[in-house]
Amino acid sequence: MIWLKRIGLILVIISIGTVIDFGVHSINAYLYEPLPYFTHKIAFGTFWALVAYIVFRKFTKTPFWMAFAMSATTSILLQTYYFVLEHDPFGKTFLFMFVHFFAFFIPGYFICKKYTNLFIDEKVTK
Amino acid sequence: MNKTIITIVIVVAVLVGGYFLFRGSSQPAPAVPQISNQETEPQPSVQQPVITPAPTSVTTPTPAPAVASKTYNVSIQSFAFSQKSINIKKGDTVIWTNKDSAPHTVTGGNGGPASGTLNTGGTYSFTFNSTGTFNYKCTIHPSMTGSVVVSQ
Repeated sequence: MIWLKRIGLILVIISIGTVIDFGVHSINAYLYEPLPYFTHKIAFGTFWALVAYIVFRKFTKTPFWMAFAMSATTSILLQTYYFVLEHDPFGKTFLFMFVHFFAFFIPGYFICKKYTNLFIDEKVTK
Repeated sequence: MNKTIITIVIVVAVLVGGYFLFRGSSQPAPAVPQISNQETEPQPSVQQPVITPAPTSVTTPTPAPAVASKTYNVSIQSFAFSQKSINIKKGDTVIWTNKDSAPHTVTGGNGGPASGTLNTGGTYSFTFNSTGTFNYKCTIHPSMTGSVVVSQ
């Protein structure tokens, strides 16, 4: 049950981050992306954030660094994928890596902080 | 608490910076004029027979019937090319029209189409003068692909 809650909250983090990202992509026509770009981001972003959580929960003591680890891992892996797909390497790959990172980090930090007992392993903090 | 404030300040700074960065690069590009590399083929010259005073038989050379080249239209809509693949003959022309709100390109390799950025309503035409399969894509949205198969 606790894992379902964790997965659900990670899904919420990535979904909110994707909504923020959608807002950034809507700033001008050059940045517009088709809908599958965002649905893919929610699906694979949630998966990679969960993997990051499983890996980093053994080393992470605070909600700040847990949110940082999940956001960084997800944004780097997603951008690598976009690079392989031959998106514009500088603008839509490199610069947007930071946009995606902060888009995931903002909700990630607040949710990890609110649900510290779910995300931070007590054994690590001791 | 300090961490929260620092985080919020960083996030706001990045968002504001990012906004101005992308705003700067988003100035509407000048409308792309219709580009055409269509060449006008020289019409076959018809030699008029020389009239002689006492012709026995005059043969008027008739030009070989020219195969009319066709024009195909492909629209770009909803982040996709309306026809994923089209089969045309050598010398035919394909016209792409961007009906999307986002800019797109029609970019292929090996002497294929290379449109540059097509804004909304922009068109690009390309005449295929050699046979083969020409794959192309939108460089802004690489998931958008298409191909033109040119036969004799």
